[in-house]
Amino acid sequence: MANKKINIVIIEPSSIIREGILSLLKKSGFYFEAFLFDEIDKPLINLNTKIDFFIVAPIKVYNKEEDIKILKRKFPSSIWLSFATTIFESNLLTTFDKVFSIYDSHETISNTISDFILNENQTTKNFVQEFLSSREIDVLKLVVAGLSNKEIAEKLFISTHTVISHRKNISKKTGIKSQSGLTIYAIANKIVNLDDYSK
Amino acid sequence: MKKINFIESNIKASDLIFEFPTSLLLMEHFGISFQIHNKTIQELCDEIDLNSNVFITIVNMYNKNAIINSNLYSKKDLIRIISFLKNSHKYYENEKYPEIKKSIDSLYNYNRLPEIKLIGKFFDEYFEEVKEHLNYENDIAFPYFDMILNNKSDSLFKYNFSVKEYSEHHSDIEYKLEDLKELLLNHIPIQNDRLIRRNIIFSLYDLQHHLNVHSEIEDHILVPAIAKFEKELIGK
Repeated sequence: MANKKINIVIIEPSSIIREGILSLLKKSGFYFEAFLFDEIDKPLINLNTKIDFFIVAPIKVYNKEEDIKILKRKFPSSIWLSFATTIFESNLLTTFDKVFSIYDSHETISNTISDFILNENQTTKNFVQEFLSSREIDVLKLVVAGLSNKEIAEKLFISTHTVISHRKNISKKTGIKSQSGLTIYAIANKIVNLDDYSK
Repeated sequence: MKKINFIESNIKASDLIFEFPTSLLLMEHFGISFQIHNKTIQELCDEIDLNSNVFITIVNMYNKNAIINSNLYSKKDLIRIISFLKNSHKYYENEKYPEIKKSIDSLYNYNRLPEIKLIGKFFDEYFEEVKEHLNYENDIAFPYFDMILNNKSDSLFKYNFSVKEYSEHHSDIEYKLEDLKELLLNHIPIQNDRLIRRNIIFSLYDLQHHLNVHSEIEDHILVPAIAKFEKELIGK
């Protein structure tokens, strides 16, 4: 937890609550960056940084269903939290993963947030280096040869969709995304011959 | 010593640098004097008429702990941020990348594998793409932002560009850096080159951190803040 930075968007019009949330986060020793916004609107939706947590005042989610849907699609693993000041409507529960009461203790809040962080790390990190399947190796050879997804599909008698999913798996297993990076990978692992490549 | 988590402007610059040496470089990008004597961050910023919040936020971003609110920045602050970004561009282009390139070249002297030759080529191509991106910002985006910040609404209309276009342009070149690290760490056999390879990997991590923060500054401060002024000025 200590070395993974979390990015948090905070939309909270009450400065008392906002400052409260921030000082609580600072006190909990999270490694975080907080981005403050006034509303759920364009600038937030256009963000290019991966956001781990959204902490949004209940009052700011009304009539924002569409925008929230877009944000959740853009950041599928993001966690949505809120601080309720009074009794809140139950339909808010569908937007948020967890609604805190402002009367919750510091421990409850920071423990819940750390649980979310730990869970996310477990599902996304894959430390085991996996080997490529023989089909993936076929695809990789053709990627290295410079063929497009469509050309690879035709050559191997599979759909473009399948090629894309093989390519995703190759990148996931090798950790390499670019075509030129994969070429070096293939040469280093003797999947293709350097002489074939330079031809 | 207690680790400083959130840096504030009342601390001494020397304490900040001891705790977080990269701030020396960030000071340089902002044009803050190296002659820090016993001064606080606040005093040094005052000397060059720089809003200390701007400096503090960016140092905190590099230090991986920051609270960012794009509404806080005036046009004057944003002009300073752009000049900071331009100076970082020079640093990448003239120092950081050539330094890594040099190390990769000497890697080949220790380990004459054809793969390492290809790594050099890979790095050159990547560097070219980076330069293209930096030039795009220096020559197209930043001049446009300058017009907004200097209220030159007449020239804005003639300039066929917008903050929106800029925010969508973001070329995704960072994954090549990931590829490089992955190849050097996991796939290219090591032969007598452990030391130099370690240095390259450290430099790549350092570069990546710089580039990440750099684009966070653009995405979270520059784009939202300038878009607001753009709207005020020409209603785009």
